[in-house]
Amino acid sequence: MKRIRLLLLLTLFTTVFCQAQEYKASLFGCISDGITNNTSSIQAAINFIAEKGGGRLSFYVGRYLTGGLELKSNVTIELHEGAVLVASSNINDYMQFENERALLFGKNLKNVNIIGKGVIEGDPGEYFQIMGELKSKQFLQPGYLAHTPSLITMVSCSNVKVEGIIFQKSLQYAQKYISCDHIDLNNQIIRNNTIENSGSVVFQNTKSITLKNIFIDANGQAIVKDRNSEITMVENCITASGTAVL
Amino acid sequence: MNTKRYIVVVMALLLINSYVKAGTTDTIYNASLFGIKSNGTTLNTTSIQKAVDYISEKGGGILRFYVGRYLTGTIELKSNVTILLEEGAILLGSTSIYDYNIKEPIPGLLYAKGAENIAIRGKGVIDGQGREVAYNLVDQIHKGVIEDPMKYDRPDNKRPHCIYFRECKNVNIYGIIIKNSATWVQTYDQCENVVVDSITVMSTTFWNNDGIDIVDCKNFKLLNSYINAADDAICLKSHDKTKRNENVEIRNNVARSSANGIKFGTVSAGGYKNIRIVNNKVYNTLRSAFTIATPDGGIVEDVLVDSLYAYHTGNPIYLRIGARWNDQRTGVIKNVTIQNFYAEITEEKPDAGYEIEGPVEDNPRNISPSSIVGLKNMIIENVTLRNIEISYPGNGNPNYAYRGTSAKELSGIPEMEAAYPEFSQFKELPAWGFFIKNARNISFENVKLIARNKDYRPAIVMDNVTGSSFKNVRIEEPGVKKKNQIVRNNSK
Repeated sequence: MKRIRLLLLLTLFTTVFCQAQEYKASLFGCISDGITNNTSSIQAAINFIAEKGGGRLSFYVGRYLTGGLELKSNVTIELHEGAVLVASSNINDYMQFENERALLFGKNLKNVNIIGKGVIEGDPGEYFQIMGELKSKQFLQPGYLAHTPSLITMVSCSNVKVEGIIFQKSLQYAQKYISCDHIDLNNQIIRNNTIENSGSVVFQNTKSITLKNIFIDANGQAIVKDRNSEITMVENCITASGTAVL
Repeated sequence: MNTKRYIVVVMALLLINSYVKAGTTDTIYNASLFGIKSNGTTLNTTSIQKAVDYISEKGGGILRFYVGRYLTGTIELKSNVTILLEEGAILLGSTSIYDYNIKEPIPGLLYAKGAENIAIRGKGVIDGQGREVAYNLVDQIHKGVIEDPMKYDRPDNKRPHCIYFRECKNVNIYGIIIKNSATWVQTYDQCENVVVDSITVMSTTFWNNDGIDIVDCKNFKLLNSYINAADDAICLKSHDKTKRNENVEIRNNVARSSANGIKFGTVSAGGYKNIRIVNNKVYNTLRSAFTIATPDGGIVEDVLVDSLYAYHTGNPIYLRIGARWNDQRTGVIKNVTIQNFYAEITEEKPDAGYEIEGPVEDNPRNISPSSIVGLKNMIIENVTLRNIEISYPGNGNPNYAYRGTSAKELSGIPEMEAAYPEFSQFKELPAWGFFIKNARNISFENVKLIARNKDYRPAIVMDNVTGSSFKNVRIEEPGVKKKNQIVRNNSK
């Protein structure tokens, strides 16, 4: 009993400590002007925090332009109110992971949180214009895996929480979860109505999903889920026309 | 006054004017006389300062800069000295924070305290290189050399203004272009008899880039200027509770902002009296075209806004009394006339694409209305809205955000008296056109409110408003019949 209590205390201590450890984006030279491409500095920040055993990378008000980032276990991305992660409109700013590209990509991770009242957004108009130019000038060869990036894609991750975030104008999907478990999505606003037929949140082979207080204004289906995915709880999740998301 | 007498007076004024101008065109000193280099790499701080001191000691004159790039740190202007920047001359702020007077409470590239008869004129440029200065400062903070709390992950103190004048008299800023400040672009604090005329401000470089801050000044004119700023474009403030802005004229200006177009506050300790804002334009502006915020006990009275045109803007009008740092003093807004006002409000983000775009915040909310919101014990009084036309997007979606108009739902709107006052602060409001709360004698005369799309909310909601009057108020909203567009709760 005593040992258990000690263990409990220790876990509590480490969680509290990890959560309390805040790293501000400017520490890593991230620039909030909406023009500077921050991909390498944000990635360096995520790697640094992961190596330190985890913590919280904190973005304050401003627009942080970035390409694709690889998330790590125990690293929380916090977007304070007014902070915007702006997805680069150049496909070459994203790494291809098998069949996936994403602004925030995670694979085989545990304990990933993306929280705050901030925004994650793309610019589909600009993205597809640049894609068109790249193709017409044959900078993208036929057979090149030009998958359109999602804002968030997680593969084989567990304990993922995405809370409070506003998703706007995603290039394709706002969020995509493949073979994940324990996915907690709550208090999200998803405005994904700039391009046709885009699903806003996609679940494939994903278990223990909880959805709470989510507003989805999308042209395509609000939530797309395959037969192998299990949603354990849905509460107050509606579309722009007031219907339930599922 | 009959015409003849009028002409005589005008002639006399012209004569006096030319006489005064002749008086200031005393001796001209070229910059090269003091070894000042225009190569853009020589740091000229000490030589320019020597020139200013020398000219001031000689009884005054003009320090003239011809075409070239003049790198410099802080220059303190002295009485009777004019800086003349000829076309092509650029005063370039040093990128090292240590080249500025950071031991002063507020540093500046061009700095003056207690000086009289000072001027900066010409077609030249002051370029603060503010982004580079700010990031140099961030670097020094992270290295631990300079201490700063890094609130909002940006340096709180020590960022230099392009121009900071305090307690100066007879100030003239004419014709110049001011660019790229690290913080507020130019501040005139407790100055008297100031004319800022025909200047251009372009500063979307770093956070808190207010275009111009007029703080506790007496007899101030801002005329014929163009201001494009990341933060509030034209801003009147009151930092000292024993002082106030008095006799201020803002005329013939064009403003663009990722915050507010023309603003009183946020810090409003003393207040504002006799402010005339005439014939100005605001465009591509994130927040309000015109706003008065007095959260710190400041007294705002006798304000005229005439002929203000706002295009592609997030919000038309926001008048707000709060109780933030008021120290038990009572904030006042009274005798405000807004007339010949036209505004087009957009659904998309009005400042999208500008550098240092303003934040997306206070969601979920549909497009916010104009608001006039006092506190229960601090009522906004005598506001006249005359010849107004405002076009809103409408499209308020109750599934996204909802606020009803029943007494219970209205009482659910928080007071937020201690919060930072901003038009969006209440999140969803129950009207699409005007929300008025805790006010007396609000008069609408010849007012047209247009919703371009159907909205679930009524046009006007009043809560605890006495003595309102409506004369020729027209409301247009497509697809509605017999909608009750004016809702009163506890109001007469």
